Parts: sequence; C-alpha cells; structure tokens
Amino acid sequence: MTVNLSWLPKPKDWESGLKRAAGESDAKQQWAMLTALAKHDLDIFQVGKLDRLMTKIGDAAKAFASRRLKIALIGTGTLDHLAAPIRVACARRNISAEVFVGGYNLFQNELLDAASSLRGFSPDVVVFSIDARYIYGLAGGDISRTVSALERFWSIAKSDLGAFVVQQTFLPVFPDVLGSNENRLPGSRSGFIAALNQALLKPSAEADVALLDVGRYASLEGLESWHDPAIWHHAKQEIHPHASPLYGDYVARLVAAKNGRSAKCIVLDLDNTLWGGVIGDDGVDGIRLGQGSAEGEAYIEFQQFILAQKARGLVLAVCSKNDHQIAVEAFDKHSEMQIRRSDFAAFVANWDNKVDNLKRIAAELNLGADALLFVDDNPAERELVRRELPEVMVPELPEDPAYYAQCISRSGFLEAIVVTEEDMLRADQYQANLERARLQESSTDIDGYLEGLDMELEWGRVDSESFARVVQLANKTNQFNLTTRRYSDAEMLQMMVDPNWIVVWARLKDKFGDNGIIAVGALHIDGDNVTVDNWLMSCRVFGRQVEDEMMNLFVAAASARGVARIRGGYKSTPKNGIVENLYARLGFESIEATPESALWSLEISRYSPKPTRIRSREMQ
Amino acid sequence: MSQTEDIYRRITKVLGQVFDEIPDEIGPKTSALDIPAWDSLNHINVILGLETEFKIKFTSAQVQDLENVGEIADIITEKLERS
Repeated sequence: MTVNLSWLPKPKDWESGLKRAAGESDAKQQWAMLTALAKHDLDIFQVGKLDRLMTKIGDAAKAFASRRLKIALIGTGTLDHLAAPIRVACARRNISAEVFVGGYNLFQNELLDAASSLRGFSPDVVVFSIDARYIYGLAGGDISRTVSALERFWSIAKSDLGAFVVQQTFLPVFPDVLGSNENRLPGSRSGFIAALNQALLKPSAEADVALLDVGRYASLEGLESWHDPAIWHHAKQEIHPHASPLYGDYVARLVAAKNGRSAKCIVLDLDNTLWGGVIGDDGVDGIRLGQGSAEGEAYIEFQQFILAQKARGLVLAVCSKNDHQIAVEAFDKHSEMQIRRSDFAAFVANWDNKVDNLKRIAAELNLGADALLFVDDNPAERELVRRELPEVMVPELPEDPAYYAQCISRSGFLEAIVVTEEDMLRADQYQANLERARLQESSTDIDGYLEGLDMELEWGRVDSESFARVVQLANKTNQFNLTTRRYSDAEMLQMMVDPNWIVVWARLKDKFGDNGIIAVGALHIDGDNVTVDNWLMSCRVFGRQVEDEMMNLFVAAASARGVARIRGGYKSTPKNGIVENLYARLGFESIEATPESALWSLEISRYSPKPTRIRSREMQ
Repeated sequence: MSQTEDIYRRITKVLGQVFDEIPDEIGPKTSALDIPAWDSLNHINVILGLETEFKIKFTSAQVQDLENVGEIADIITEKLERS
C-alpha cells in the first residue's frame, strides 16, 4: 500500500499544466502556477518533475513566494530523495525552500566543524533524520545516553546555527522478537525504539524542538508503506521513496506552522458538512445529527473535533448557502447540536457566491484569506474557491462524514507546534470582540467607546515567561508589522540579555476580557539613537490607541537611556499597508523614502505624550 | 500487439515518468548509459515505477543485477508468466 496526500485533489491534466507553467513568461504568474500544481496528490515522479522545473526557473518567480527559507536535512543513511518532496511541499504553502542534504552519515562532523558546508549554508531550519539502526548503535541501546546525545545535537543546531530544530522520531523498523510484550525483553531493539520515541517527548518540548513523528505515522499508516528493508539494504533509504511526498509535507507543515502559515480560522459549510441533509428542506427535526443513526453520530464526532480546534485557539466561521434565519435556527433549536451559535466569530448564511462570502469573512475577522481553512462537502464549491481564491486552504473532503475529522487532521493545514496561553484564550477573545462591537454601536462617539472599554495595558521586558508568545507574535504577525524583521529563538535569547536591546511586550485588558500579549516592540540602542528594529501588534486590537500608548512607552524607555532620538523604518509588503503612515501620524519626520521603504525620525525633546484612554502599568 | 511489445511500451512509459528526457527508441540494449539522469538514486525510482506499473516485486538480488532494458523485460516476462 502506498500512502498518499489524500486530502489534496487528484492531478487532472497535470502534465499539460506543467508544460504551460514551464512556458509562462510572467514571473508572478509562473510562481502561482507552480504552487497550484503542487497542491495535488502527487506521486514521486510528479514531485520530481515539478521540482526540476522549479529548480530551472530561477529567482524571478521565487521572489513571489511569501517566504524564502533554507532547510538543512541532516542525519544518517541516504536522504537525497527527500529534498525534492520538501521543496515541493513548501511551494504548496507558498514558501520557496532551498534544501541542503547532509553527507552520508556525516551529520556529527557537519555540526561540529566550524568550516563545514552545513555551517556555510546557514540554515533557518535543521531537520534531524537519523535511522533506527544508527541510533540503536549510538549509545549501545541506552535510552538516557541516547537522549543526552540528541540534546547535544539540538543545542548545537540551535545556538551555533540559530536554527529552528526538527527531530524526526525513529521508525519501528525492527521486527519484534517476543511480540506484543516486547518491552519485557532486555536488550530488544524494537523495544528500544518504542521507548526512545516515548522518552523524546519531554526533552524535545523543553528544548523547543519540534518532533516530526514518523514513528507514529508509520504505526498509523502501516510500516510497509514507510520502510522497505529491501530498499534499505540496496540504497540505504530508510524512508520509502513512495512515502517521500508525504514526508516532504510533514516537514513543510512544521515549517509553515513555525512561520505562522497554518490556518487560523475554520470556515464551515452547514448542510452535509455539520449535519446530514438540507436544513431548508428537511427542517430542524429532519436533519441527521445525533445518536441513533451512524451518520448522525459521525456528524456529532466531527462537531466535537471542530470544538477541540476552537478550544486550542482556532476561530470558527460559517459560510453557507441558506436563509440566515433558517440556518441560525438549526443552532438554536436542535438539541444535539454540539457547536453553539456563539462559538462562531462570523456567521454568513446567504445566497451570494462563496468566494465573495469568504472575502467578507476574512475582512470581518481581520485575517488574510491565506489564514482560512474552507470545509465544504460540495466539490463544485471547493473547486470554485481553489480557482478564485488559491490562498484559501481547501481539503478534499471524503464522501463519508465519518472520515471528515481524519481528513482535516491528516491534511496538516492546522498544524501547530506550541500552544500559548493566548491561543487558549483566543476563541473567547473573538466573542469578547463581538461584545465590544455592540458597545461601539451603542456609543455615540469613538472617545466615549474607548473610555467605556476601561482599558489597561500591562507591559514589560521580554523574559522567560513571555518568550514563547513574543517570538510567536514576531513571526506570525503580517499586518501591523513595520519592517518584517523576523527573530529566531536564538536571536531573541541573545536580545533578551544584550543591554543594547530593549524588547518590550504589551498585554491589553479591558472590561470584556484579557486579550493577552498583543504587541511587541524590539528597540535597539546605538549611541545617540534608538532604532525600532521591528514593532508588531495583533490585528485584534487595531483602533484602540494601543500604538499611541506604546509610543509613549518607547519614548519613556528611550529617554531613560539618555538618547536624543528614535528612528523607525517601514518596509512595504502586500499586507502591511495599514502601518505605512504610522510614524507620520505619531509625529515622526521623514528622512528617507522610496516606494518600498521609508525611514522616520523623532527628536525626543520635541515629543509630547499622546493622550489615550489607556492606563498603563509596568510589570516587573 | 505482442506481449513483448506491450512490455516495452509500458517500460518506456515508466522511464518517461522518472526522467524528463528519454531516447526515442527504447530497446533491449538501452541502459543507464543512454539516459544521463539514470543514477543510483533514480535506479530505485525506475524499479519502484516498474513495480507499480506491472504490479510485481523485484527481489533484492534482481534489483542489483539489472544491466539493461532487455534484462528488465526478461524478468518482467518471467514474473508475469508465473503470476
């Protein structure tokens, strides 16, 4: 059995699409065509062909990728066949990846040698792919010594290379000697692999190393599709070439999650997606949902899966062709409905086309269309959205609702690595936003509204407690993002202790709830200047005077250090137009401007603090 | 079409899947030497492509010994006859 990318559509007319892409002269269009080709259930040969074309096209087209990243794949055995699948899977997520493949069994030298080609490559991501036979031999089958060795490798990759580290778990390639109770056999190699994968969970989380759990995928999907001993003996490929498209996707989804490119909002169709039948025809009592029928139970479980996604921080929305009143009633009146109306941050039920409705939902929630996952049982709607809004993620839902959750889970569109306190709060925060919107409607003027919110801004310097959220904000914020400077964990750790850096976070609370940490400013002191290296703010608190209050804080922090002026840069991207004139509005003078970027300066002596309706409080 | 012709047609199809460019004529003497991209990595891909196309499995020993398309066709013929 071959594992495949079952949540992506089967290639149709794919070869001719590849020829058209090869002949396309417009670079932007060409990149769009390549990413569209990548979004299919491709086999290794198609992956190879697409990858060779991507290698040929050169930099002009790749410049249109949302991000360019360098990924090093190091470890043992033959890994060359995994490079193309990683590049193609990254293109599937609008990321242009350059991949370095380590030499055969050379990864320890490559890590330690300061002059190695790995060091010269300076990767953003290091993936450790170490085969089971090698790891068993590394420390004579001793679990704790093996884990310590891995921790040393991770630490070098993190601190010396400044990379995001991914550790592939170990494939259960050894046949059991005893059987089900293998763990009772001292020195069992199969027992060792199982225990090692278990033992990695805690130290990897503590070291902020992401696991690529092929060990578990192999048990779920069948070891024979992941590993073939004949291929191992012949070519030393531990990962089966047929599994390589899937392996590439597993790497790319972790990279995407780390870079804030996983979906943030699940947009759901209703009829035959959240329940069986058509609410407009069958009525509340006629739809199939709930105990008593296999189909009705399947929908219950699917709704529970969606609620679990909400609980960990995803936003839910409805996009359905229905009369609004009838759709709403289904939620208000059906006793077995798991998801409540109040669980949705946006509820769009009308007869307009879904492309327009998805754009509306994205705008309403202040998200890009590339943050949406669109779940719809209707193949025609999926096809329309894929064509008109290619940045929206659209899984190819199976016919039977019993497999909906599995399909979405396996797609990796929702992949996440860490769960911060803010993630857990997010769903409630969108709810609180609805209440804020109501207050705004009832207030006659904006100042009255802001005063009524009773806002308090807590702020402080980045520390170990705020670290994860600060890095997350810095790497996933796209709109209120002045310079698009991203910071790796290693860089941020350095900035945390360097006296010439002031990295400030801010948390906003109001009478409707706690928004969590919503803004970060990274200030660099250089002689008589403070430069705002980057400044980020969550879209959830736009229009609440937070930027004014933060500038007051920046100025206070800068004058405490005795500097004369603050400088701030702006670098234009397709998404950050909202802050193009921010510094002008805050009273800065322009000292340099091109269509792509600008530099602004403010003499601290001439600054008068901005009046706001926010009380601020420094946290120690 | 004879069975041999059919086998050569399908081998040609698989080579076309694996490589961007292949010779116009694929015959018994065609080997890795005729296709520049046919290296050890792609050799495995050729084998996997053939296994999928013909629904057969080569043994480890056979994978090692395959010298040219003629030998590949012989082994496939033998396996198809036995199945």
